[in-house]
Amino acid sequence: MSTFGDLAERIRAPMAGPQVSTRRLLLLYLPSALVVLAVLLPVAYLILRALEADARSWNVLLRTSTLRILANSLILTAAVTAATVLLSVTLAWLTVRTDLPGRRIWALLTALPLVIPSYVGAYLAASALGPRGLLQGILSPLFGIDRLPSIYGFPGAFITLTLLSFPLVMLPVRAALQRMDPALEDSARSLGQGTWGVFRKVTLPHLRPSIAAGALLVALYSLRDFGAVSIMRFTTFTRAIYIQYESAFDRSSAALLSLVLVAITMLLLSLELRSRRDGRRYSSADNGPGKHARIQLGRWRWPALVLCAGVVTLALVLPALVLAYWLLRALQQGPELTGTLLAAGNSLVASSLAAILVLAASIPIAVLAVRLPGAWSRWSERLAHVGFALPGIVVALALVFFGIRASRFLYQTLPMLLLAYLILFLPLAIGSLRSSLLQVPSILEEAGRSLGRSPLEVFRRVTLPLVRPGLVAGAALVFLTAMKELQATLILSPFGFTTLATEVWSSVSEAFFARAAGPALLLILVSSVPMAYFVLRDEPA
Amino acid sequence: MAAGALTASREGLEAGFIVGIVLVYLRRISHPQGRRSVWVGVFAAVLASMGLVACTQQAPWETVDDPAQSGSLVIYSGRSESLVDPIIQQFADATGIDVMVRYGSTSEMAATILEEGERSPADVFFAQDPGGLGAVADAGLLAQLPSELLSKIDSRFVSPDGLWTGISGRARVVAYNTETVDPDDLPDGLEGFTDPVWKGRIGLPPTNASFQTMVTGLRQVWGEEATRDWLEGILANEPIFYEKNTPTLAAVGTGEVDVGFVNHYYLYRFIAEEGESFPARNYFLPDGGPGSLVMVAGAGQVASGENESNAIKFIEFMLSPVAQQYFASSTFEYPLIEGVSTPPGLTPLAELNAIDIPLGDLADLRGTVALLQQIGYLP
Amino acid sequence: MTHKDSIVQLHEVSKRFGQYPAVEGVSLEVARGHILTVLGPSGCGKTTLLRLIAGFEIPDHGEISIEGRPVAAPGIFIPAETRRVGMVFQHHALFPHLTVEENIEFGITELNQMERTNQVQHLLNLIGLPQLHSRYPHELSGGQQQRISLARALAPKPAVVLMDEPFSDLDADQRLRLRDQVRVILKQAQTTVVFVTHDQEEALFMGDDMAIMRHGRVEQEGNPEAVFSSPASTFIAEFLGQAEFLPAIVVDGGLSTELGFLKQKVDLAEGEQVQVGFRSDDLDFASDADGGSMVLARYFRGPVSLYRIRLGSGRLVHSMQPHFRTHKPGTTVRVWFEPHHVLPLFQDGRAVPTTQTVSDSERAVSSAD
Repeated sequence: MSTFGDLAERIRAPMAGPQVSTRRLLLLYLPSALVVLAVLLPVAYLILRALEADARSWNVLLRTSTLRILANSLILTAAVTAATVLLSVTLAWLTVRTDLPGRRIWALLTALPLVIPSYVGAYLAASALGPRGLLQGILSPLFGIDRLPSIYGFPGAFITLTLLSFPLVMLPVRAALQRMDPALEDSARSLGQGTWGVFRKVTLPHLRPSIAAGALLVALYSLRDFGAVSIMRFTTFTRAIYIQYESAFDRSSAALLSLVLVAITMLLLSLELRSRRDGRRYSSADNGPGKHARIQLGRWRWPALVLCAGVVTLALVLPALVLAYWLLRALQQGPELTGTLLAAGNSLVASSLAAILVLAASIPIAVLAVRLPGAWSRWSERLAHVGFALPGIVVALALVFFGIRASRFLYQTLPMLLLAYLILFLPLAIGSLRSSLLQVPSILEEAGRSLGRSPLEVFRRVTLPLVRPGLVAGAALVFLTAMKELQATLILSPFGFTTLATEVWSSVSEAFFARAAGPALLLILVSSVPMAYFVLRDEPA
Repeated sequence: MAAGALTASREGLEAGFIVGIVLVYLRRISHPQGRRSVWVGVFAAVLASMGLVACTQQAPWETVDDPAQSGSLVIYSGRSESLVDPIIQQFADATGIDVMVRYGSTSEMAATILEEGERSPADVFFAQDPGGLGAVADAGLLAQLPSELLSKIDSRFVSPDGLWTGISGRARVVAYNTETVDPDDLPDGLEGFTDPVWKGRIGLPPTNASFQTMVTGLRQVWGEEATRDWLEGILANEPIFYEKNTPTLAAVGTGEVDVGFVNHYYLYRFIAEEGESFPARNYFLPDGGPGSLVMVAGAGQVASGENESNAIKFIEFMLSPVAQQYFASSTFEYPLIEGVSTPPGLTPLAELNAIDIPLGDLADLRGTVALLQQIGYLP
Repeated sequence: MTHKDSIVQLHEVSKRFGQYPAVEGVSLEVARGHILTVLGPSGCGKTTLLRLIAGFEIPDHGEISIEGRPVAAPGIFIPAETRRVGMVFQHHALFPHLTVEENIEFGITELNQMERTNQVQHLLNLIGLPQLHSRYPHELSGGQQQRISLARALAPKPAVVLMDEPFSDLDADQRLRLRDQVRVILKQAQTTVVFVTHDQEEALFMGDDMAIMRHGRVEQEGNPEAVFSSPASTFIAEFLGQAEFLPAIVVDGGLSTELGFLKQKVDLAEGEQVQVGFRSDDLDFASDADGGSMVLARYFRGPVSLYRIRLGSGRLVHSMQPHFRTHKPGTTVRVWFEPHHVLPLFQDGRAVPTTQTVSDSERAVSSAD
């Protein structure tokens, strides 16, 4: 296999003494291999289970209805990806390049929907916008509207997923816009291009790598989402997988279907990688001196504000209002704080540790991808994404399978849960670390080495401080995603280790909405803190 | 508790002093950049200590060798914490056993036990419905329950091979919206709902185990053909599918649908939350057909668990008058032993005209799932 | 230059990137305290050579030694961080997140804070920027940044400092000033330097020794004046000082050219064909209706003007004149050689070896007058 050949060649580098390659081996190749091995555990589990599949399971896979569901999933994914890209690029451009009033606030608010778990968001959307939900209740006496058009099915799933996941694209695009050398756009303008022309011909191509990276995350997110689509009653492939576990208790069929998901993930990954290769031309035009001229919006200010306000209302205000309503009811009933506070503490600990662990694990892979491109770095980056598209239950069961056989001691302890988080969330950290690393020219590292410092020391004293924004962004992203995680936490956490997410789920599933409001609100607030920090601090003054 | 708090506050105070001194010193030597390192250190220290606590939680199978201790018990519960935690706590307090519960959905817990196989640390599997118990029993992972235990409860509510027992009962009902439906207009049996007059007014949760169990019952009583016809007839009335019983009943309440096929006890939950004015009520089908099925939530002892006697104690306790009374009054479910009064407002079991289908026949969901998938209720 | 005095030695060093040979069979030595400039057009391999010495690339063949210790040889490769080689890059590569003081301190290994501060101050004084400790790189001008870069490279007292076109990012004015300053600093610090550039004026000014590279090979090496006046090939002659060439035939006592007889001792047989190399200061012209050549253009350069002239044969040559001698384009002129030194001769692009030295040519000129 060419990767091993590549690896062997590096070890055998002509004239190189043992010092150079051993260090690289220990610090980069070995850790990245270990991480990839961990991420592949679910795939190994799936293959094992799939091998047990009988004819019936294969039937399940190849039925027309299954294929129809697959088409559903792909259509939803494509639609959500397209919509998020459109929305994100518009919002990013508005908040970075123009003179939109209240830019910084919009920047923060439009990043926040990411903190809302999809099962909460969908539930809130359904209660708010359902045919006889809160909105209808408000409108009914005013306008005599008996039933709102149903948002269930594709429309509801599409809206919910778009509104909750678009920050995944918007954040990297904003960062890229801020970094871009103003000379590019200025020279285009001086050559006679209007605002739209500049955007289309100069800005947009430059943004392609960040758009592609974010779009990949959104696509995988919508593929694997279960909470929103089930509440919105849109049958996706992931739902089909769940039904196999839930109703048929058929793990082999579920495994077969999951492997299809893995295959689709790999396909999406190669698409993104291909688009990224073209984008490499543009990375040298970053960090130019000078500030960007603000584009005057003029009349367009009003539609822009309406857009921002609309998005924020739908994605943040509406859910917050519904939650507040439930919270009021809860307070009337008498709040139960102790359980929630304990869960909050657990959530914080688990998510923070997850953020640190995932970040550390992403470092070797990101460094390899940027500094030592080759077959192995491409493959390790690709494989690292496999876990992100898998439903939490698959990853959890895989770790149950291996965990209980390989290390009973660690089974159902926090480290194993953290391992699940690693497998599930690794790509979130890799993306932001990669783009930060790309901005640290290797010449700085060479300068450090020429001054007598070992590569590790140079990494610590030069590279790490310079990629700190990317590290913080990655950590924040992993933190808030881990806060929302439900499935793996239920199955793998230590006994009595409740998190805010499990608290919310436990109450909502038994229709104790008032009881869910407190943990849900706390979940959203706590997740918002790191997000606010890293969105605001990177703003130009 | 107080001692711990005292130690914590004393140590906290000391730590606070040290941090304060360092910060002041940094300011003195004009090295303000160092402050950030201090805060990072504080954060890391807090995280590390909390993490250490979490990581050193004792795993349940590390048995305590002290004979004075009553031992421990590991329960995997598909029943939600908000429902059963009080009664489990009662059990723990009464016996002094260290009870560790993992909460999740029944199918998730079943899948976990199946995946753990013979290494499973679980002692008891407490399930919401027989399907999960059946799957685990079929894999040979449940241990035979002692006959004295099984004798406490009507054999209707026990699995035929004695591998698991019902603990509380739930009846299938048709919930209806009181504002739009007159109970006299409701049909006597399930077949009546295939009438086109119900078009667009029905809600049901096809992925829910209770619904599937009911359909299994239909197959048992009516046979495959008739069940298929009924399912297709209902489908022709364009029912709205929901994820679970709870959203179905919520939809009945808001008027999104007029009737819903749910379990009886959800209504009481809603009434408790929203008050008597909640515009929905239960309708028990009078015809005694399979629509009047009474199902059970139950438990079984997982064979690989290490606390066998504690597991039996637990199941015994769940079948005791104390626990059964709890189910009747707090979760509004039917008690399954004699001598416990039915929750107020519920038609007593005896009067329910419930159909008599052996539970064992109801545990096989695979065929039902296949049927539902064929017709289009399930993807 | 004996081996004992040389700090850097390269012996038959080669490096390929894939099929492309970046450096081939290069052998060089740099004496202690000397500045060696490596000059050549883009793509000639000079940067790769520098990176090989620094330790950022591994040579395919050959040996590199620093201070007598082999750092790259078959079976040996000392990584960059242990080579004691300082580097100044084209784009300053100062650490943007550190102050000037912290940047300079980066390579200093003394643990004593006071000693470190002293060293930093000493270096800041050396480069003439004594007050800039707490500034950040982005607050400095390009020239200041490069000087700080140099100070940073000098701080760990390296065996040799490598400079990769360090002035190319600066504007012309800064470049000239900085060049002066840097040379003074380097000489004061008695540093051994390998200085890479594509700017020939810079190379001639900076270097004690010069090596010209082309297509990965060293074409010529030596004292700048010697290389300038006796280029080993037409490429070098053109590259250094924009030499031009006319065909000539060896005759008794000199060369016969289109511009007349050139009196010069030639070590070749009569009748041999050569190319004569000359620069714009070696030609003179005057108005002459029968001259056979025509002024095409005048390029005003301030104190001098450069004239482009078309000879009768159609060849284009250039002649430099003081600014007050003006000739309009279109004027017919007569052109002749006014060499003041021995002009180099070439056959097939290579210089014809000559036994004459510079002093010989001076004597030849004075006797001609």
